[in-house]
Amino acid sequence: MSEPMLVILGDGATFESAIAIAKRAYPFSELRTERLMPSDIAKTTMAFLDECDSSTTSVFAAIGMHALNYARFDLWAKLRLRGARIASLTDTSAHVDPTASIGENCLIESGVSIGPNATVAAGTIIQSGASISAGAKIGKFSWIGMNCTVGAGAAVGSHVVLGAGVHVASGLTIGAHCEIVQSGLYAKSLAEGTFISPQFIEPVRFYRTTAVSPANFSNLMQRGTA
Amino acid sequence: MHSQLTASHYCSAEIFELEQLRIFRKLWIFVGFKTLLTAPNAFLTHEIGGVPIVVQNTNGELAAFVNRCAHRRAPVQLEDYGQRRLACRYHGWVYGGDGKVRSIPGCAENYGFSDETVATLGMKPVALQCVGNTVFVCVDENPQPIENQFHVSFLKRIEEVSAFLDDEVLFAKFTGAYNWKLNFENVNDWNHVPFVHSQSFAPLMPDLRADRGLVSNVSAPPVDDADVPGDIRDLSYETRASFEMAHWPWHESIDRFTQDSVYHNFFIYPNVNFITLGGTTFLAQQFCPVSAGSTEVRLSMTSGRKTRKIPAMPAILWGHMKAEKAVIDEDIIVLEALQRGFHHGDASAFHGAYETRLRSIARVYRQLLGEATL
Repeated sequence: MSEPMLVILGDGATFESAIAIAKRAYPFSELRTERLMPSDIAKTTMAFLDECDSSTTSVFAAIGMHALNYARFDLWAKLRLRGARIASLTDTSAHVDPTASIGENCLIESGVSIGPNATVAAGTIIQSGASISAGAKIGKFSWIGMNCTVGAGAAVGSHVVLGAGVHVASGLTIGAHCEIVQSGLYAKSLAEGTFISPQFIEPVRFYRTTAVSPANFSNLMQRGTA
Repeated sequence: MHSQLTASHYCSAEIFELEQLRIFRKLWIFVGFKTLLTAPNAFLTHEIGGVPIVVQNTNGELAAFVNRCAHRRAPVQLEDYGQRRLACRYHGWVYGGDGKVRSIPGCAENYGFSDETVATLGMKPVALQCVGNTVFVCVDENPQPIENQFHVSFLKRIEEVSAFLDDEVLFAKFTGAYNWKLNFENVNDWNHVPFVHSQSFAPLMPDLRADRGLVSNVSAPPVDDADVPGDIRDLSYETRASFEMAHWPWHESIDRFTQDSVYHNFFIYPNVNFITLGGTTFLAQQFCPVSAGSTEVRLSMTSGRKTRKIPAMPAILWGHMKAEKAVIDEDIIVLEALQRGFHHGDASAFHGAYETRLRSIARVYRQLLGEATL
């Protein structure tokens, strides 16, 4: 059997951060890096993986910057379809409580603290100095910026971006696809698809029609919305 | 040639009230995209000439009402968009698809209303017309045919293009400290782009780059005031300009009404600029009067109709929205400064040949207000 190998695939700041963390934290005998631009994800065949022993090789999708959470998702999905084993990377200076759960392809940077029973789903990046309190849940392919705090029991949805210095109070829900790039304390839950930026005084909202099937129509009736 | 509009038309509270009554409460006003209203109880709210409006999907049909409960006049729907039955949040009165009161909690015990009394109560219906996937409302008691306001060919074009609107929409609103007319004039004035947007928008429009020259031929002198066209239907029209569009992989996953790299504007009088970038994204800019010196800008952005799921669509639209807002902010700096400078006795704008359309807008506006025009 060959020695364990880690392949980091991607571009930008996340790519660089993943490489630095891997060098510090993981005793892989071989670290291989492959540059891949987001615009090339659709067409890449990832032929280099053919040269690797799939039983000992792990891959990390490191498409960088928060606006590219979806590109990282696409790359991760492509790797999964190919049957690749996906790594997660946690910096040596981060503290992750043993009862916390970290999904695959997560990047936990320096100085991050993740409390007891917290959950971080696949593909999420938690930048330096951020703190995820006990029992908090972070959805898939989200981005938690530098020095953010997510309070105890708060639930942050999938594909969410919290910019640097955003503080989510305990117990709140931040819906999927939200983006908050204005630092500060947020003490109210946000509906799915809410965007908060200094460019706009009021939150910008994403709306979609909700097809109502006979099955969920009764649910709407019970909630008093139908 | 001097504009027929004076400073007072932009900053007088009395004239503002008059235009609310004689323009916004008389004309058909674009309120939003039908694609967000296809689900049961989907709704949007708006304000037209100071009248709060709700457009609601009731039993699969769209209906528009004055958004005021018959009881204590509270708004029945509060949010800009949503999906909720017509039930007043204040005391729970529920309305049917025809706007009539369907139920009143505690009707007999608290109110003592007879069935006959209840039958007389309801939300006031207002006229609604869909043009393709766009929704127009007219709050006038006797709405004119929409063809009196828009050319039939223009309505057909809106119908054709809006058929490609998707059902996921990003919505933003903000207030600018300027009169709504300044914004509609601004979007009708292509000549501001190389100057106000020289570093943002203009570089993407080859025909408007400063290095290409603005006008290739010498224009004829401005026409006399008496010769300025005064047909309201001419004020809603389409323009096209070549545009250097970025091509993204998600463009392969939508239906586009055109494959051309063209920036289309559909100006919808009195207050809407409906834009599409080659059928990839669509943006409706509504310039809604708040007061003589204040305008609420409502932006509704969507993509071409998806042919498969695009999970990244919220982020895609958000990226486009931020770029649009950066360009609009450049306009706002100029428009707010322009508004601040209006004063009694101020001279009117002085228009050249390319601004005949702006002079038409002014002429029609004064006709609608009932002011004498040349």
